Formats: sequence, C-alpha cells, structure tokens
Amino acid sequence: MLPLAQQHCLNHPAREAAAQCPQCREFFCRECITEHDDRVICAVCLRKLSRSAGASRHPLRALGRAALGAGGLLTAVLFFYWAGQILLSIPAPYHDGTLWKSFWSSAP
Amino acid sequence: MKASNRQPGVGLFELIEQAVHLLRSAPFALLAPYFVGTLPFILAFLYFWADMSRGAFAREHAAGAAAGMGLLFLWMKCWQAVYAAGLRARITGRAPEPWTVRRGARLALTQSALQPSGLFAVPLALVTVFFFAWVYSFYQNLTAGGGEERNLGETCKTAATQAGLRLGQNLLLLAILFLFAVLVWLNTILAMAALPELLRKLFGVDSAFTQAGWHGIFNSTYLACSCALTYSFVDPLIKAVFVLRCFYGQSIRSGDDLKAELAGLRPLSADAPALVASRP
Repeated sequence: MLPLAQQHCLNHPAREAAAQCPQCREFFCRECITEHDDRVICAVCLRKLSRSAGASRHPLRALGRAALGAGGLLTAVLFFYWAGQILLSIPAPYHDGTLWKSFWSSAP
Repeated sequence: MKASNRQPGVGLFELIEQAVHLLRSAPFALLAPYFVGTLPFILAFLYFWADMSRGAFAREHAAGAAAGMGLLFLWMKCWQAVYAAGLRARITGRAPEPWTVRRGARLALTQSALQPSGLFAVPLALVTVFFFAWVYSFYQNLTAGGGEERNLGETCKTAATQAGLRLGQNLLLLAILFLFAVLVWLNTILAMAALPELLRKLFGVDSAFTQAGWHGIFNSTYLACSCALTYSFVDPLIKAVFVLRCFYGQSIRSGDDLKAELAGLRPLSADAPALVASRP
C-alpha cells in the first residue's frame, strides 16, 4: 500500500489524503474526516457508529434513568428531612438570638 | 517562559473579568431562568427554616416540608442548567438550541439524578480543602455542562475532567469567590440592619426589626435570610465563571474558543467590502 503522502481522498480523487479512517481503512481529505471520541474518523463510519449506538439503546434504559432521577429526589428529600430534624433539635433561645442577649446583659 | 510550561486556557482574573462582563452584558431574558428556578427555592427555604426553628407543629409535617424542599431543589437545579445553557450559547456566539420536550426531559433527569448527591458530598468534602475544590467544581460543572450528553456516565466524565483541569487555579478561584461572597454577605447584613432603621427615622415606619434592636441580627432566620440573599447575588456569577471555565477547558480539544473568535470577526469581514469601497 502507498504511504499516506501519496494517497488521495476516496471522495475527492483530486485532493491529497489527510488521514486514514481507522474503521474502514480508507483515505480521506480534511473535509471528509472528523474527530470523534479521541480519534479521526470518516463521516460514513461516524454515521454508522451513531446509528448503532442509537439502535443498541435498551428500552429499559429510559426507565433506569427515571429511577435514578427518583433516587436523586429521594436523596434531596432525605437531606432536607435531616436538616429539618437538626433545626428542630436546636433550642429556641439559639434561634431567637435571646441566648446572646442574656449573655451580654449578664456581662459586667 | 517556555512554550511547554504554558498552560492552556485563560488566567484567573481574566476568567472572573469575563464572567462579570458576561453578566453585565447579558439581557434579562438570559438571567430570568436563573431567578425562576432559584427564587421559589430560596423563599421556600426561608419558610422551611423559620417553620422548623419555631413552628409548634413542625415535627408533624417535617416529612412533607422536606419533600417540598427536595422538589424545589431539583426545580432550581434544572433552571440553573437552563441558565447555564443560555450563557454557553452567548459565549460561543451560536444561536441557542431550541428547548424540545426530549431535551428538557433529558436535562431534568440528569440534574435530578446527579445534583442531590452534592447536598451530602460538598459538606463532606469541606473536611479537606483540596477535595472540596474538586467536588464543588464537579457539581458546578454538572450545571455548567447542562448534562446534555448521551448518558449519565459521559456527563460525570466530562464534569470530572473539567474539575481536574488547572486545580491550582481552581483553588485560588474558589478562594477569591469565597472572599467576594463574604464581602457581599457583610454588605447584605448591614443593609438589612440599616434599612428598617432608615425607614423608622425617615418615614416613622416601625417594624419588628426596629423593636428587636441590634440583637435581632442574631436571630437564626435573620442570618439565614442574609445568607440566602447573598447566594442569589453571588451564585449567578459563580455559574458564569464555571460556564466559562468549562468552555475554555473543552476548547482545548474542540477549538470552540477560536470558532467563537472567528464568529465575532464575521460581521467585520461582511462590512469589509463597504469599508474598502469608502476609501478614497
């Protein structure tokens, strides 16, 4: 096989090749390649990849995501419930600020 | 300085300056989602605080109140992500993507699934300052990124990568923002103390605040109110800083900062023929 410097684009034979697609092993010019997931890939292979990613989506995946969302809501509710319990356990003079008032008034 | 020692992105103060400029030049429509989400949460939080600290029957409805707070927390986080998406569109100079039901649902689910853990993780991370910077940035990046990636794993990966970038700068950034927040808080608490007194002296309006005297500032609801107001003043800036930080961090690979600069030059090049033609 000829080195990259001597190759031409599969889609544009008049143009010099800029990269070789790691999926289909064909050569392409700068216009026909793109970067995806840390590698240079041709547009056709990228389309195939995104299509297969879409096809591999499990029907329960959306359900799982919704369950995670519900779990997040439960976490937030638990946090605020505990925060409320902490606030309830603090004596009223702290909340009213009267604790500090009496402290200052008793000071010499 | 050697080229190899240079770090990508912008400097610390430039980042803050850009964020301030971004907010100053932002139209109200851009800021509106932030307050649509945050104000209900803040008002409910203050009510929750006052109720739990003084309410006679607070213990009986604590669970219901906590559920309401949890829902409003998620509501706030979703709208903050919408606000961040608007900021991102403004930075890149691209037209904002339309909000479809699918996009909205994806954002809501991502924010709901990931953000609540921050309620526990951020206070726990305060134990070590170094981890706090990373953890706090991670959750800010979840908002700044909007969580519009294909799955939660990718969203977490992106947020974690951005949080790990320029850790030293991140630490200094948080220190400066913390100092700024403290100054804003002091200003807020002084304004809250001075305003009722001014009203009494100028217009003769007496209120519970003037009757309580200066001891009133030690009331826990008063302090919570000052903290909540400070949050609503400072947090839009923090979000803008992290949106910019993510933008520059991702631009190392995507080159979006260059594209944004080129987009900014485009109107000039469109006018260029006219300018050339007007030359004698």
